[in-house]
Amino acid sequence: MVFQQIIAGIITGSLYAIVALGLVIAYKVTGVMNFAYGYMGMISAYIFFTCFSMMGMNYILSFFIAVTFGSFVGYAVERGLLRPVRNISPASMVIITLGLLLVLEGTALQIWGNNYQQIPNLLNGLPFILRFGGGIIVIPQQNILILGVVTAVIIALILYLNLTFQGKAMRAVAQNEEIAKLMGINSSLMMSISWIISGSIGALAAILVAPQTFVYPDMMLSLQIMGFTAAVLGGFESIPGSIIGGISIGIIENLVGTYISTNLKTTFSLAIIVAILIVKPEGLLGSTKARRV
Amino acid sequence: MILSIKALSVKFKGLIASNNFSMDVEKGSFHSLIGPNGAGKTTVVNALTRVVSSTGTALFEDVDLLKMPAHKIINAGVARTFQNLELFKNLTVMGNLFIGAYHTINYNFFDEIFSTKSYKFEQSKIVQNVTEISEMLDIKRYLNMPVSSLPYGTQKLVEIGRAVISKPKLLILDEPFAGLNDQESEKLKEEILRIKNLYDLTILMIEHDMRIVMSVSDKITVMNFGEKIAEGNPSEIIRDRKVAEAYLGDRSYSRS
Ligand SMILES: Nc1ncnc2c1ncn2[C@@H]1O[C@H](COP(=O)(O)OP(=O)(O)OP(=O)(O)O)[C@@H](O)[C@H]1O
Ligand SMILES: [Mg+2]
Repeated sequence: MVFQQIIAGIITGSLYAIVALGLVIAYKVTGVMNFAYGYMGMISAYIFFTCFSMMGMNYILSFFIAVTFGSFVGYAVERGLLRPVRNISPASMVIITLGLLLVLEGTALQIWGNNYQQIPNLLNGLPFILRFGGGIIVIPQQNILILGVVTAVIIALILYLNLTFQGKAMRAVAQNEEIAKLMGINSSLMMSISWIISGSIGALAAILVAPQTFVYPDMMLSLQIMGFTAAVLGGFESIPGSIIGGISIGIIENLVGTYISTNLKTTFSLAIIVAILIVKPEGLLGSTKARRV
Repeated sequence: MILSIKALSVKFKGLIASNNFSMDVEKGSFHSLIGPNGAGKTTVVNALTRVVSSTGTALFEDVDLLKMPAHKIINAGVARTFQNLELFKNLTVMGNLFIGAYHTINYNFFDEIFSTKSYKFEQSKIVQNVTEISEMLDIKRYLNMPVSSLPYGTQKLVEIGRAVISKPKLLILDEPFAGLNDQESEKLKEEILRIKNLYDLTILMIEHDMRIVMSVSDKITVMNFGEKIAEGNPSEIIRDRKVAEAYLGDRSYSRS
């Protein structure tokens, strides 16, 4: 029973982790906490729904169209809405993302209405059943898919940031934009790329979670909040921190939900996280913020 | 003449940090920029490298640096170090040197992913440069260490290496000798002169250590309160009354 909950926690947690990752990569490079993040993903889930359920395209094609759309949304938001005010009033960038959240919610409502739309799991076969010390653990195939996709994204991202020249350049911009520019790095381009990556991750998360939540304008609300919490728990600056943060919250939430109270699981988990942050304000793997020139 | 600064002015909220400052740097020369604390030396270099905005012109081989975006400066052939170390602290020494070479690479992201010929060729060239420069600065054994774990003097060498590996024509050093002891200073002086010869560099150096300045400079420009107050070769500067006055009025001079 405990193992079943831990496995379930890892699955939910991996979605929190990937949302946290998307938030953190955009934050590290451009310094903006994107409060519209989940809602940007939600639009892609609707795109998926439109392609797959309304227009009858196949699953993989719909998936690629929706994720590409998500990357485009990421690019457009950074380039079109945030960059124009970046040098005038950095603080207002966060407010803009809050406004964007409302705009996206309203837009979705206008175009698709407020019905709960269903999209199917990609993998619908029989769940895996593991026997484990007398108990059994049931893992639906879709959850294996989620875990697999999330793991692949995390590995790709880590390889990209650590091994490629472009990834190193992006880390340099994240650390010190002024100095990175003097190394010949086009920091504007890196900012665009970071939002493209972030946007496509957000779309991916929304499409993966959609079979459980259904597609509707506020479908990403709880995932976004938990993703933020995971990012904060991880220190908001750290990629391993986001992953550990997300998985821990997923596990805590599932255990609390099972053994203490389902109604209180979010409240309780947040309380635990606040307690951790009181002891370690910089987050699990965070560091004090680097100084700017 | 490789660099010609004309009427460079920088204002910070009421403070004129550089006031109509002009100065020429001869190609191949070792040119020092000196002056009391707060004179505006770093500000001039910050303006040249587009870290702060300014008015005036700074012709570098016929292009005006002050009209360029910051990320094109290194392409024009100007690299610099910083008064307060500005390394990428979460990267290794090697990582920092690689970023220094960033603008020299011609391959793109896809060459890298598919490990194409041009990628392999350029990669090996960069590794060769990293080896050469780290040997010259005697930092080769630190290549795989995170820079933040290294002593201050070594970090300064890494910063010089990061500037040199970009193959600049003009290398700007902002107080490279600050915080070094006599022995380290002597060693760094030799290394800088060797690099200058080997790579045919022009050097513009801000420095407070007068012994070093007098021994390496072909020409010295002296600033005070954002303005040029004297210019000449070391023996002329030593005898200049305005220079003596500027420094006597400044207690911090006694530290060098
Ligand atoms: N970004 C900035 N904003 C406001 N004032 C600044 C800024 N940078 C420099 N100043 C001011 O401009 C003046 C010149 O500073 P600058 O750093 O150029 O002096 P410096 O000659 O390099 O001195 P030092 O030898 O101490 O390094 C100083 O009064 C300094 O306080
Ligand atoms: Mg200075």
